[in-house]
Amino acid sequence: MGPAGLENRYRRLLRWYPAGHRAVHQEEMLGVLMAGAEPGRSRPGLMESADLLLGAARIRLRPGGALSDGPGWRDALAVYSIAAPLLVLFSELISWLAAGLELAHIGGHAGLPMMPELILIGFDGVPMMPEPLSSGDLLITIATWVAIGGQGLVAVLALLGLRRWAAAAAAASALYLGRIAVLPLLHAPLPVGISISLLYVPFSLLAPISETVALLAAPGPRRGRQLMRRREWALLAAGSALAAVLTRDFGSVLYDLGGESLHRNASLLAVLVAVLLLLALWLTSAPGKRLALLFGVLAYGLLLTDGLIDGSGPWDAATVNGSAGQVLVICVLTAVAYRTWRRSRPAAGEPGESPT
Amino acid sequence: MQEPSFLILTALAAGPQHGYGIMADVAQISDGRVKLRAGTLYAALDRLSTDGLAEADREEVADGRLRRYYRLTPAGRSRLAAETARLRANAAVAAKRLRLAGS
Repeated sequence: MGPAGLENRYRRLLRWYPAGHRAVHQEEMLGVLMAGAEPGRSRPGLMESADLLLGAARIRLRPGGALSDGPGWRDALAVYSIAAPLLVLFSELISWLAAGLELAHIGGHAGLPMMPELILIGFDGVPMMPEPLSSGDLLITIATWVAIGGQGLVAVLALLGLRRWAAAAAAASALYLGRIAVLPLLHAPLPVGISISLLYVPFSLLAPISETVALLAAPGPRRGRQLMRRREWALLAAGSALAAVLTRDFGSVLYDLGGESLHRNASLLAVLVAVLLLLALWLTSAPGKRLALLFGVLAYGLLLTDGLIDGSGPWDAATVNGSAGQVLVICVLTAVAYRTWRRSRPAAGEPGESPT
Repeated sequence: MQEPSFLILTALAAGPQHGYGIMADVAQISDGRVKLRAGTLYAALDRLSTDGLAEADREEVADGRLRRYYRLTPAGRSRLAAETARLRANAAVAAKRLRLAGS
């Protein structure tokens, strides 16, 4: 096998480097490797292979090294603008259906309960059937459906490629939820039925606000749809299901962990988010890493939302503020965001740095 | 500063060089004691670029292969000078103590 075979083997080794680094340095490194190769050599030497793998690991493990340059934020935001509303919508619908099953389970009858009962299921997936309904209960229910419906509308408009309309829908949803969010400030005492549950609203604003920004700042959902292949759609479906399972309490219907549902273990969930985020940063391409960061923030917002809705268990304010898992996930997100920002800045004379 | 980084900066102190040239120069500077391989070289260059001590100078194509030349930045020159002074001071102390021990 001649030089072409050797070059192909070098290329294979160089695949261990971050995509952004390869985009800039691969051809140059190949030139150096081929220039240094002994005549007649058909395979990289053992020490040379180990050195290349070690070099790739050094660059990846360096703070911010995994967040290498590349197509950058524009593509990440384009995918986010279409994937985020779908993910939130799917996860809400999955947990809503699961809550319906829970209701059926509690009621002792098979199948989903009647539609009026389902409509009154709250964000937390817990059937909300007080007799009579208070104005606060109704407000929460309406907010729930505005949030879900808003995400549905944004998702449909984004899928149709109508960027501005999708952004308007996301902004309108954010404005409505924002209006509810200030209710506790305007009413003292609060209306009957409104409690700490309303605190979820500021956090639930995270999705529509971030979607509005992504829709306006990025090339648009058409570009996002182009970038999403079969694998990305599968990841989106899996991510939605995971988000639904992790952020909702399905009680006896789905699972228990040591006699206590996974939902109750705030630290475990937070650590899981941090680990998933780091895995995503390690595995994906440069825009993928930025996308992972965006979804990491969104996932953490959803976790906080869910914890505040619950309001009575380990997810209460003390846990949210104090748990080691929360601190970990905040640290990871902050560090990643800082490094991403630093690497995104165009450095003077930086070779081949793509504008982001 | 690690020795490969110090030697790379030393190689670039004489003027811009491409990757293969740096490897050859480092071997010469260290009297054949340090032979940089491509993985080590580019990991070090990546670090030096990130730290603002070295930067790309120009590119050319030779024999159908891309060559990118690197140069020292002003910060890299200052850092190399500081590191040289530190090593020189350490070496002077070491030499002095060895003389004392030998006398």
